[in-house]
Formats: sequence, C-alpha cells, structure tokens
Amino acid sequence: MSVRAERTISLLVPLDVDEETMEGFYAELDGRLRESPGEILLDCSLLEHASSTHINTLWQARDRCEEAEIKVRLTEVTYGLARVLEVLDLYDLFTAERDGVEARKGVGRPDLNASASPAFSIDVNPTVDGISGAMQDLHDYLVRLNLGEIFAFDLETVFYEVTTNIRLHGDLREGEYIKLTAVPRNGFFHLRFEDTGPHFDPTSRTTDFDPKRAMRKRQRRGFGLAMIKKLVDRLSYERQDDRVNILSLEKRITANGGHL
Amino acid sequence: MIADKRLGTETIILRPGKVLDNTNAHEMTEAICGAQGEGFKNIIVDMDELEFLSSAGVGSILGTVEVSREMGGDIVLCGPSDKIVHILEVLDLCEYLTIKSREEVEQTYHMQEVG
Repeated sequence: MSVRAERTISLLVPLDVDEETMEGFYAELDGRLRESPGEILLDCSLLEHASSTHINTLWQARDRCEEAEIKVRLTEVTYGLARVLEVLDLYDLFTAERDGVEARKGVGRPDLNASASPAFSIDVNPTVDGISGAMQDLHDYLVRLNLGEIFAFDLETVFYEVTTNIRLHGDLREGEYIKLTAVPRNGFFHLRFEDTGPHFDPTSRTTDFDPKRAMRKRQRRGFGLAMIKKLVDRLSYERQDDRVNILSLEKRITANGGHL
Repeated sequence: MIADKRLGTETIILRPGKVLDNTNAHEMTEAICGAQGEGFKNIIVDMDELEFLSSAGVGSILGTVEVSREMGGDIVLCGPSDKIVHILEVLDLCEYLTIKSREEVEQTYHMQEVG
C-alpha cells in the first residue's frame, strides 16, 4: 500500500494581466493540479491594486482547483485585495470556506467578518419619472461599489425592465410603490422587488427567445422578460399573503463581467 | 421625438437621442414605418448618443427590419456604444441585425458624413 504525501504548492498570482502572462499562469496551475497536491495556495502578494481581471483570475483558478478536487486558498492577501473581496462579499468564498487567511489579516487590514457591503433600498414611484430617478440612485450606488460598467449596466437594465413592467401591468394605485433592495452577497448581486399588484409569476412564463422568429413575425413587444432572464443567473418568485409579489433576481459577480 | 435626416430618396437617418425605451419606442416604430411607407429602403438608426436601450427599444427595430429587407434595403444600427452592443449580444441579436461603425456607414452609403 502506498501513502501519498499531501503536498502544498504555492503559486504567485501575476500582477500583469496580458494574455501571455495569464496563459502562463493557467498553464502552470494546470500542471500543478496534475501533480495532485494536497492544497494549492494562491499567493496574492502582488495584488495591492486588484482589478476585475485579477478577481476573475482568482475565480477561474478556484474553479479549476475545484474541478480537480484540489483544496485551494488565498495567501498573502493584500489590503487592497481584501477590500475588493469584502465589497463583493467574495471573501468567504475564497477564504473562510477553505480555512481562510485569517492569520494573515493582521494589523491595518479590515475586519472582514464584521461587515459586508451595505444594502441599497428604495421605494420606487411607479411612474416614468419615478423609475428614472430611482434608476439614477441605483446607478450611484453601483458606482460607489466600484462595479464594472457593463455589470452595473446589466443591473440597471434589469431594474428598468422589471419596474417598467410593474408600472405598465401592475395596476398599482397612487401611493403604492415598488420596493427595491439591492445588495452583493456571497458572490452574487441580489435584486429584490416587492409590489402589491396582481399575482404575476414570471418564472412560470415561457420565454424562449428566437430572434429569427421574432423578426419574421414582426414582433415588437414582449422581449422584457426574455431580456431579464438573459441578464441574470437566478430568478425566483413568491406571492406573500396573497397580496405582495416578491421577485428575487441574482447575478453572479465576475462570471458575467462583474468588474471592479 | 425622433429626429430624421433624409439622404436622397432611399436612405434616411433616424436619431433616437439618449434613450430608446418605453417612452419613445413607439415613436421610433412610427418613424421607421413612416419612412418605409415613403419608400426609404435604407434606414440608419444613429446610435451615437444612445446611452440606454430597453426591450421596447429593441422591439421597435426588430419588429420592423423585415419590411426594409423585403424592400431590398436594411435597418442599420450605426455606431452603438459597447454597452448597447452588449445588450444586443445578450439577446443574441448581433448576427441578425446589421451593426456598423460610423465610418462603415459613411463608406457603405457613400456619404461625406452621417452627422
């Protein structure tokens, strides 16, 4: 019977993100994974100013390790990277779940377990101007989170489509508002909409979008739900107390271009 | 209000402005259908200023493009930003709609300048 030693291999995550460097990094990672080590340590000491590409690199490296069923964790996490992970609520995903880098937090680093990004809540007046104003407020919130432009644009588009659909079809009376809560948590950006309109479960609607057919049929409406479903990763609906529609949407941060 | 600029008898430029959404998608549809009715087979939607495109805006173009193609022309989306192209990509529309840069449009339609 042979006993395999559980080896730990450390890999330096590169600061440069050009194609050649990244290919080299992933090639080295793949090579190391083939050695079946006990654990891969991703040395993040160079990532003081972490960009979206760096986060994506860490994410992809994590996926590759998980696919190979090799334990992975981050080491030498810089303050800058820690802040970014904290803002996106990715810290636990990359660290604590796999024994963490708690020992490396040290003096001057944020208390990553104590706080997460604040949620954004707003009561949206279901009018053209009300939606426009709330969309600007959401935009400002997303800018403060330093999310990538395209990722934020996707969320704003989803917001517009959902609230406009409620405005047009929700039969809300004067004084009734759409309540939005937005927050990044556990690697996903969450949007939750509440309204008191008639029961409407978008998850029950078939939204196979066929552009060719739509063009042929000269279809001009009915693309909103298809757009929403394509812009988010998860969508769920709940009718509460036979009075409130709760639509919850989640979009994975980084996987679809969620940048910092 | 959708601004337009006629270039001869076959080509017209339509400008939706900063947004093409539920507030003006019907105007865009009317402008396109009106132009088609007048015999303009090439309709250039100038997206230079466009910052936001909703599903209703997409519908105003998607639902009218076949008419232009049956006339032997097309609806051309001119100079959309990366964000707008991204939305079109998300809906898998890039292979079905004609998207051109401003320079390409100027060359294709032999114009000195689109603006």
